[in-house]
Amino acid sequence: MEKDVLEILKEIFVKPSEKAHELSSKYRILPYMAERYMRILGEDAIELLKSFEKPVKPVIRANTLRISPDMLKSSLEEKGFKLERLSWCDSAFKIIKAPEQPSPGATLEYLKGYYYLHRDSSSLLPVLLLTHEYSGDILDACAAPGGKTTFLAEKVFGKGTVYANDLVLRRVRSLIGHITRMRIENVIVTWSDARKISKVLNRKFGRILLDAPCSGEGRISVDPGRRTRTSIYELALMVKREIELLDSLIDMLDEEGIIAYSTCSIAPEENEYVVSKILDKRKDLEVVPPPVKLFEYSPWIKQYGGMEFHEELDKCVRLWPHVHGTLGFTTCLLRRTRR
Amino acid sequence: MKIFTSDLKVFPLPRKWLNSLKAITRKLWGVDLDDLIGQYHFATCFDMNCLLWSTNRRSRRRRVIYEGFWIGVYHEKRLLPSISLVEKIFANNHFRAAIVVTYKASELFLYGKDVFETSVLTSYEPADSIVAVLEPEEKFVIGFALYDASCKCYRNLYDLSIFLRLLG
Repeated sequence: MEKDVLEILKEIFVKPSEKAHELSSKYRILPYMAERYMRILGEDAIELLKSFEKPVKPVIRANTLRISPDMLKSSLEEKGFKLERLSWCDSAFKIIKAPEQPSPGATLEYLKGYYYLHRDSSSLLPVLLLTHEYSGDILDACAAPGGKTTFLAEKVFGKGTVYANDLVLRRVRSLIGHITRMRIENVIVTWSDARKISKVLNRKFGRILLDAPCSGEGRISVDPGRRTRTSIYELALMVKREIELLDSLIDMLDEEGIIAYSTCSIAPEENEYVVSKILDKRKDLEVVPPPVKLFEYSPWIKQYGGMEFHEELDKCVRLWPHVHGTLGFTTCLLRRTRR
Repeated sequence: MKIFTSDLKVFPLPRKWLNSLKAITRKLWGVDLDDLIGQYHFATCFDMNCLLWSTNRRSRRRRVIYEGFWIGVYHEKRLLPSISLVEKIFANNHFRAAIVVTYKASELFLYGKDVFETSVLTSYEPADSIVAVLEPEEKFVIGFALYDASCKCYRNLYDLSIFLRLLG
């Protein structure tokens, strides 16, 4: 076992209690996850576990470069969809009801590139926070399948280009598919390990989005396999990669540039722990609060197990399935400062 | 800039391909492709299917596999213009080499079916070879078809569902 991974494993390891084992078998999750939820949430852990059983509502985001949200809404409602506009994002609608045919991913409007179909609303958040009052180029470091890339491109249309990178070719293919389907022209797609992307692009950015490949522990309600997929050892491996990704991408920020570190995981190991490690290591970084309050955010946690996290992390955003009714999701904005 | 792996190929568009695309757009829609697309042209191929694209950005970096404007496809050993390109042509010119089809026929066309002559609402000449297929509501290009006199129908060459079938 690699020394770094062993080190991480030692720090994140928690011994599950008897109660955690009980919850683990009742809710079909791994014991370390149950232990973690109990330690972080106390009695609310049960609410979280119950929320994993509830389906989330998919979200349609209008491609405003091609159609107005209102026109899209009426057009889809004529086909039998019932849509509800998100209070904090004018161009996005929750699908309250869908007809049997066509499915939301096979309508003529979809094929015409009039919208992107998101699993739920949570993934819109980092884009809205990162592009708030911003003009310029953006790097989307782990971009596929393209929901955030296409939204970023729309947000900086006429003002900047999105560099969309991913490592997994099958996913890059789908990313290109969405860009061409939605007729988006201000995107440059690269195929590379994000840890080495600085060598490919050889430039810096004012904004970077790192939606890190993670355990997906926030997506259990749409992907039940994730209940038991990630052992604590595999989690340690992911954490190592997340630290490396974040560290290398910060080097690509302009001075005063901002990176949004996001995951679709509610695990503090992949969020608070990762960012704390980076803040310990680097002196050229500060946490910035969200520039706009779109709704009531939950803060990142201050401690877990034997770990105390940086106080600044209470400026970062957590979406809890049992609180926000979304998939579990996190975003933290970090600004590069003068050393 | 070139990338060649077993699953992905990215390379500058061969002159023969570009000339062929120019010939199609000149013959069918009477336009000069150079007026519509960028200066540099590339192909990105997954398996045997390629997306052709153009950009004005001179600087080409390794590992860039797509950018700019979608200008065409290479699909089932045939080179065809992109839906975006022909939309751009129609935005500035009268319709030509196009058929408007019934709503039902456009739905079936998007499932890969052919269009029978009886489902054509309007034809814009020349309509006896490759045509752009337009849906009736917004006259939006939904794909391309080739007239086949033997079945009195337009054979589906490719349509918007290419995004689902080829690109995931």
